[in-house]
Amino acid sequence: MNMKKLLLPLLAVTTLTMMGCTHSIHMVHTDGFDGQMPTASKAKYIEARSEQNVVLWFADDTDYVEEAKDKLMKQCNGDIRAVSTQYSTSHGFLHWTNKILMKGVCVSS
Amino acid sequence: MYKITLYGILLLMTACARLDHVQISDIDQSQGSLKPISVKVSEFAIELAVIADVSSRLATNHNTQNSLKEIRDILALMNMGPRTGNPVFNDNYAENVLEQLYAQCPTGKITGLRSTREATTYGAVSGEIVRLNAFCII
Amino acid sequence: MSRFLIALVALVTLSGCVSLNSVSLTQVPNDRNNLISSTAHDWLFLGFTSQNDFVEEAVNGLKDQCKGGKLTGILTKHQTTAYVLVFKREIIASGYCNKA
Repeated sequence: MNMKKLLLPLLAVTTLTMMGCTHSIHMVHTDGFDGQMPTASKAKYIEARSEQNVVLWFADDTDYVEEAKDKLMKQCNGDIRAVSTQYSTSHGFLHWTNKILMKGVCVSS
Repeated sequence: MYKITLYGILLLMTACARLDHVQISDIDQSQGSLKPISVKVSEFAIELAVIADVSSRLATNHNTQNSLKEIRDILALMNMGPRTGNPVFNDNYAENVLEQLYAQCPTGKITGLRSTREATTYGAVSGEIVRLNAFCII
Repeated sequence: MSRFLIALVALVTLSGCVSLNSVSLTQVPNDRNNLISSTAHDWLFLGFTSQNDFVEEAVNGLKDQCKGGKLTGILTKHQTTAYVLVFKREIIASGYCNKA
C-alpha cells in the first residue's frame, strides 16, 4: 500500500480520536476577600456546580446560574465569603454544555 | 515547505496579548502594609479548524486540499459553542487559583483582588490565562 | 407542507436563543430572609447600540427596594436573547436586603 496515501487519513483519524473535545473558560469572578479568613474550626470550604446542555443555540433560559447559587446556599447557614464564580463552556458535536462553578468559604456564626 | 516555514515564523513574531475580562475588588490600605501576591495559570489552546483551513490553503495537491477542508468542517462541527479565545482541552486549570493565592499570604488577609482573563496569542495557537493579583496585608 | 414550514420558521424565530455573557456573585450574608431582585433590558437591532444605560436601571431597581439597608449576596447575570436580527440584552440582579 502507498504510505503517502494512508498518511492523511491516518493523521485525520488520530487527530479526531485523540484530541478530544475542547473547552473555554469565559471568566472568573471573585468577591468577599476584604476580611481576615476565620480559623479552620469556624470555616468550611464549599462548592457547587451546575450545567446547561444546549443544542444548536436553542436555550430558553439561564436558570442554571440560580441552580448553582441555590446549591451553594444549601451547604451553608452562615456567611459565605471568598466567593468565586467560574463560567465556562465545554464544546461538542452540534451541542455544548455551559458550566458554572461557584466556590466559597462558609463561616459559621 | 518554504511557505509553511515563512508563515510559521511570521505567526511567531506577531504574538499578541488579549484581554477578555477584568475585575477589580476593594482595596483596604488601612490595616497595614501591602505585599503584592500573584497567581497565574495558563493552558495551551489551539483552534484546530483554523489550522486545517490554513493547511488546506497551503496544500498544493488538490486531493489533499479537499481532505483538509473536510477535516476542517468536521472539527468545526465537533467543537461548537461559545468561546472566549481559542479552545483548550482541559477546563480544570483555573480551579485551584484561590488556594494558590492564599498559600502566598501567611496572614490570610487579602485585599485589592484583581481577576483577569487574558491570553497570549500566536494566531490559531494561544496560551489562555487566568491571573489573580492581590495584596497581602502584613 | 409550505404552511408547516412557515409555522416552523416562525416558531424557531420567535423562540429566541438565550446566552449568558457574564455572571458574578458577591459575598453572601448570614441573614437571607429578604431576597429582592431587579431586571432591566434593552433591544438592539443588528447589534448596534450607542449606550449601556440599562445597567443603571437594574442597579437603581435594587437600591429602591432596599432603602436604608445593606444589599449583599448580589447575583448578577448579563444575558442576551437573539431573535434573528433583533437582540434583547438583559441584566438580572438579585440580592439580600438587611436593614439594621
